[in-house]
Amino acid sequence: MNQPEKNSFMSNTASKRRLALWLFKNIARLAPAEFRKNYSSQMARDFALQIRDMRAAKLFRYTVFALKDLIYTLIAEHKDTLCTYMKGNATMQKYQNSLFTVFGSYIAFITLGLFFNGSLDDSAYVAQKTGPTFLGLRLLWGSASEIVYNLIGALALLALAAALIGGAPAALYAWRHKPEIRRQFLYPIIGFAMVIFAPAVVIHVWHSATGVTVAKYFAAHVVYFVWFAVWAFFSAKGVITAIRSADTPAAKLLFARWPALVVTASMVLMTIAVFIYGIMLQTTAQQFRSFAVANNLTMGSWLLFVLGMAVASGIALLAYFRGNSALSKNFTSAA
Amino acid sequence: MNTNLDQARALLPLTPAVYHVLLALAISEKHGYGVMREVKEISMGAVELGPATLYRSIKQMLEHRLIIESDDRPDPVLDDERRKYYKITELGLAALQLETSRLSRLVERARQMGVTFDEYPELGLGGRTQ
Repeated sequence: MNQPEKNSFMSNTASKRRLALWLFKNIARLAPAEFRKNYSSQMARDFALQIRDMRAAKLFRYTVFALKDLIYTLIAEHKDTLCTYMKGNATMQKYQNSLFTVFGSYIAFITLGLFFNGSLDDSAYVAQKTGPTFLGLRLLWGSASEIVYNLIGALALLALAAALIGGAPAALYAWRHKPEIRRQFLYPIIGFAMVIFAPAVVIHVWHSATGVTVAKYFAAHVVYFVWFAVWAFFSAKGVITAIRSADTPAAKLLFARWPALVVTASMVLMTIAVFIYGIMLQTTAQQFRSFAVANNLTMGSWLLFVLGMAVASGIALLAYFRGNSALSKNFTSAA
Repeated sequence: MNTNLDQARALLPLTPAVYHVLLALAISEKHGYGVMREVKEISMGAVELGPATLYRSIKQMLEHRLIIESDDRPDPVLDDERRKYYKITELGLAALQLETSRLSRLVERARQMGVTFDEYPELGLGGRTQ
């Protein structure tokens, strides 16, 4: 008479055991993917072994304990996963911002550089930079100022190449994956055409109608400079917005790490070279020895160029090191 | 060894779960279920690790190189070959030693401060020593 009762008790406990295991396995499915993949089957197997010989009362107590333990662990694992993700994301954000700062500083730098070059159009300065050249490689002969001038040119080419190489993967990704932001790349091109032609036409008409005076010539250069600077600013902003909104993958941004170093180092070296070049001009070009900020390069405008370039290089250098240190800190703590 | 001690010192204090798992693995390498049983035994039934806490601790210890997965597999006839066995590393051993030393100094300090166990003889902790 007791036998059927015992069987019923046993099957009852077995079904409770199955239910407990089912609950455990299904709650364990809610674990973060990596934890689930590595440990959920081991956890379920160990739980099954633990409850294998338990009687009903102990089974209930242990199941409640193990499920509570599982839920707390899952919450902690999800929290860890989220923290790791956010930390990684914040690091990439910081790194991305540092790259954009280097790029923005470079745009400001080349704007200054182009106008520095333009201000050397005086015959005395031209004499400093004429002579046979081959792709700017004229370092083995010529005067010291020629060598410095050509060094500036070579560094400018190097920085341009590095900026293009570093930015190309991210820009191409944005172009391919976000057609709606392509105009952010087109505007700078259209803007560039306007920068080249519109002021030239205006200045030509103005000069033809009223004749050229030194003041007008200087004013025209200032207008042209401002115009060019505005274009450079909005172009850089457009490219940055496009790359940022395209959610560019980390690998494409990490690729820019070394080109960004080349750009930054070139900017620093060019600033030093422009400073040295100005000191050399002081001894060879009479018209340089003036503090007036005029159309052609004077000591005053030279100092402004050097100051502007130094500020741009300094900002780029700081941004580069901040981005790099954010990356290395994250990798160290992850290891 | 000094490097291990320095690295281990940076990981202190260990969580109770990690400490117990290291203690269990210091005896011999084990699979998860074996660790759970050993922990219960060495703590005289006072500590029972849930499977989830055990594997979260194992995950953390693997990340910190306190333990590693053992390449040695028991005879499949005797055991499930899908089981993973874990063994303690030199770093894990150093962490275990340092934590034991820290805990024993803490207990000694508590005794010096007059914390007694006289009221709870059932704990069997020996009571006040001085």
